[in-house]
Amino acid sequence: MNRPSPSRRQQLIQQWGAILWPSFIAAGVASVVFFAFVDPLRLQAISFPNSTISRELGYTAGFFMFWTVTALSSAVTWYLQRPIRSDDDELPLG
Amino acid sequence: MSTPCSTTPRPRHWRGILSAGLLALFYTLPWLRWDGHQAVLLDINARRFDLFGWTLWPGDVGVLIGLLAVLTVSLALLTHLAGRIWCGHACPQTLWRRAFDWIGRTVSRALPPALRRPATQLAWGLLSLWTGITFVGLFSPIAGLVAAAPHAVWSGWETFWVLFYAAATWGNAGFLREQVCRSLCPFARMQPLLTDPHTPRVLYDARRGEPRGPRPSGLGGVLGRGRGLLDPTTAQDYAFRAAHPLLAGPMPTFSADRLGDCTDCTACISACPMQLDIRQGPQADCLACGACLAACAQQQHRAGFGSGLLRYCSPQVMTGQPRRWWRPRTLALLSLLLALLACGAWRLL
Repeated sequence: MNRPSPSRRQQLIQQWGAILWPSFIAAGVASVVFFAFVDPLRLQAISFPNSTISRELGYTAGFFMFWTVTALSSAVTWYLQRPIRSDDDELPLG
Repeated sequence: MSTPCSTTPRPRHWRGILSAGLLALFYTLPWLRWDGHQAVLLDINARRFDLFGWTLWPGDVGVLIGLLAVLTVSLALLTHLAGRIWCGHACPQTLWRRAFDWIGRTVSRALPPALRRPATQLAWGLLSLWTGITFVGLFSPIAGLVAAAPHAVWSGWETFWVLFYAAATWGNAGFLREQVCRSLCPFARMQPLLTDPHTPRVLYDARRGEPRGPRPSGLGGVLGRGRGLLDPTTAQDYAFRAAHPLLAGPMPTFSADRLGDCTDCTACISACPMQLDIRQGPQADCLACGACLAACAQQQHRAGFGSGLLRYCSPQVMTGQPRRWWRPRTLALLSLLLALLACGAWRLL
């Protein structure tokens, strides 16, 4: 109520944090559950049989793939929640 | 009559020792041995988790998720019953921020001003790096990791995750700091769902403290000199006026013998890691770390007043209501916990 309005830095942290942080947690949970059932080496064998990868590459790529997708979703949510700018804003009243 | 609150705040070093102990636990965890092997090794490369002689295979994912669910519900129940003690005493963000603060203070005491900033950053960087190595050591045998470090023969993924986690530690504890709790932490936002008026938190006894203000020394506390406690409405009115001077206008001037026990020394605000003024009432950003309790108790002791102007107790107890242990949320969380434990016992035994 009496708190000063957040500074530009705080706003930026809030915006980027609201996109990156929940998506990081969601990607972490998704990776744990997904890789508990799926072995990245088997996935590679059926998807890219001609290339060889290590499990670490599979896990890391999987995690960052999940994080990219969840962050993208968070970013679109953030974008849609911004107030709509109407074209009429520029027109004089009356 | 009401159950007395914990009026004597624990000495401040108690929190420091707990933080140091929890950090030491994290840093020694990958070094513990069990039957000649690393006791805690989440070997995702071999697709097996070793936890103190207990091995989880990919098919045991249900057990792992159940274990996480039990820990989550226990944390919710703890927060419901005892307040945000996780945030103030055990959360990694709090522990590392406190460790970084301690490094900053130690460096500024020991070094000339020109060297302080680079030395602090260097020490923060080294601690972050060691945190990254310890974290990766939970996934890849740490003895080999540390032995290989001087020869730079880590695999690309070990290097990447050590640096990633080191950067995350430095970013959270050295750069974002209290912003993490204020703006980013989902658990902080969940507090209103878990707590109710019977949940303890850090509270200011406005009836005893108001009207606040500096006064000549040797006057004695309100209880000692017979002014007594204000009625709740007047006390809240004074606290509101002090918190919102633009809205409420200037405070009336009081003679020294009518003043409450708050000397307006602002020690509570300077001690608070979030820079909150606890006298403005319960606030969502308060981590319940108890730094203000210790700072206030020290000032009150110095002024010759009794302790307990700031207290860790529930709003109900503060208003003199009896404490109630069993509330709807207590029963819901406890039933959930017991159900999960019963499922786990049935699955494992």
